[in-house]
Amino acid sequence: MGAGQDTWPDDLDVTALTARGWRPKTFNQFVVKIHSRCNLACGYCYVYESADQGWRAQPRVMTEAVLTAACHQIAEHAGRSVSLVFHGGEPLLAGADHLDRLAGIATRVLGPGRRLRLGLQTNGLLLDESVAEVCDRWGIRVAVSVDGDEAGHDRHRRFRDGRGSHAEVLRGVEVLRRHRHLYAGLLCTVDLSNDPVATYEALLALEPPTVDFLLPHGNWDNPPPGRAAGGPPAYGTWLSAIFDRWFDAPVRTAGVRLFDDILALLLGGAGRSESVGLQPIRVAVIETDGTIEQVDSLKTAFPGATRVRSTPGGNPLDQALLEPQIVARQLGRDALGATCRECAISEICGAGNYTHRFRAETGFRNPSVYCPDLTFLIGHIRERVSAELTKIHARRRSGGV
Amino acid sequence: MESQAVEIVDLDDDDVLAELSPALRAAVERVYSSDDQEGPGGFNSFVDADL
Repeated sequence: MGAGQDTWPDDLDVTALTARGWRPKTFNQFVVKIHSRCNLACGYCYVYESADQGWRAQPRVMTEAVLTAACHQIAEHAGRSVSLVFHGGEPLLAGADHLDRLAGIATRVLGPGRRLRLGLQTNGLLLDESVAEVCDRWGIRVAVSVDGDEAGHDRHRRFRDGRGSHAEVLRGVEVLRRHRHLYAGLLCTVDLSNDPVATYEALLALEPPTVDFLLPHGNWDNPPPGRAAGGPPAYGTWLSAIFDRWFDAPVRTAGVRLFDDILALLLGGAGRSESVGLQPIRVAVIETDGTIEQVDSLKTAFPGATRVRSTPGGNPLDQALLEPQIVARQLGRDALGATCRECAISEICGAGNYTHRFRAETGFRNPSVYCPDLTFLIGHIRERVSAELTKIHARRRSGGV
Repeated sequence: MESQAVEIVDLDDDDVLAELSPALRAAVERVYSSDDQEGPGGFNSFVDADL
């Protein structure tokens, strides 16, 4: 990385920060990779298609011994509330029986005296009644990746032989519809080629309690498709069309995490994902060999971007908390670059997803490559909220209800 | 830097809350709930992670 003016993490003086009284917040969410391979070959995948090919060196399956050791580290490190998400690769490649054993270990080690939440993020292909039975036994809530209707979904989410996966994924989602208490929601990656409202309505047809729309990963050196410098806020416009459809619905049939987060932030609350807001990142990734890493999407920046140094002895989670890369993501507004610190909406957008800020010359202390889109979307939502409140106040002043 | 927070007055007025759109009402309830950590149907992970 070059020596740009706003470069940080490795140059961040954590010793000076702690001397001034700053203290890191312990990790409370753990993304546990129980299988490191995938049965799909999605074109936009940040694990298999990115610059970092570290997955090749990982064991395929996380063993019970590795998870047991990791859970003991978590138990020593974390507070009374812990969220553990079984992830991959495709976690269900590990099989329902292995998932059962791993969830049992997590519950036995982490459950007593703690609020433990278990989750599973899957592509849905192997989601069947035997998996549902395991999830029901351990209270595992499941989210599935679906990119909208068949044409939209199959644009990227394909098997290695090029076949689309939509029909088979929907069979998995049907299992969740039969076990609604296990159904966490659907994650959809945005593609500007797909119609926004048709995409949203295709997801709604699957009756998810929550939906989220994820911007495709990219950065200033490798911009996402359709995000040309100085170009129109195409992603912001795309998302705003869905926002209007969602906001104007007479009944709330599904939450949309990104919109719910922006609304909450506009009302003075906090976000619940890393997409927007300035809340400290308290997530650690545990690879199939037990190694602690940062979130996977950073792999799109440069090879090794997720790596967290550790020294022998001691709890690796405690050690990771003082690594500059982790600290930088817990500093809120202070970690933003100068442009963002001076921006009126920085408290709302928080410079967007950390991954999308990367530029080789200056590291991560930049605005998001999606800055025009986030600005457009947040402005649109703010206007819609203000207009609704004005309408209500006018109605009340005139004596109507 | 001007704050971009939207001010909602009369929040303790149930009538005002009832007049809000369902999406906005859910946001108000979330922000002012005592447990702003996990709503019903919320995702398990903070991570913006697809598969």
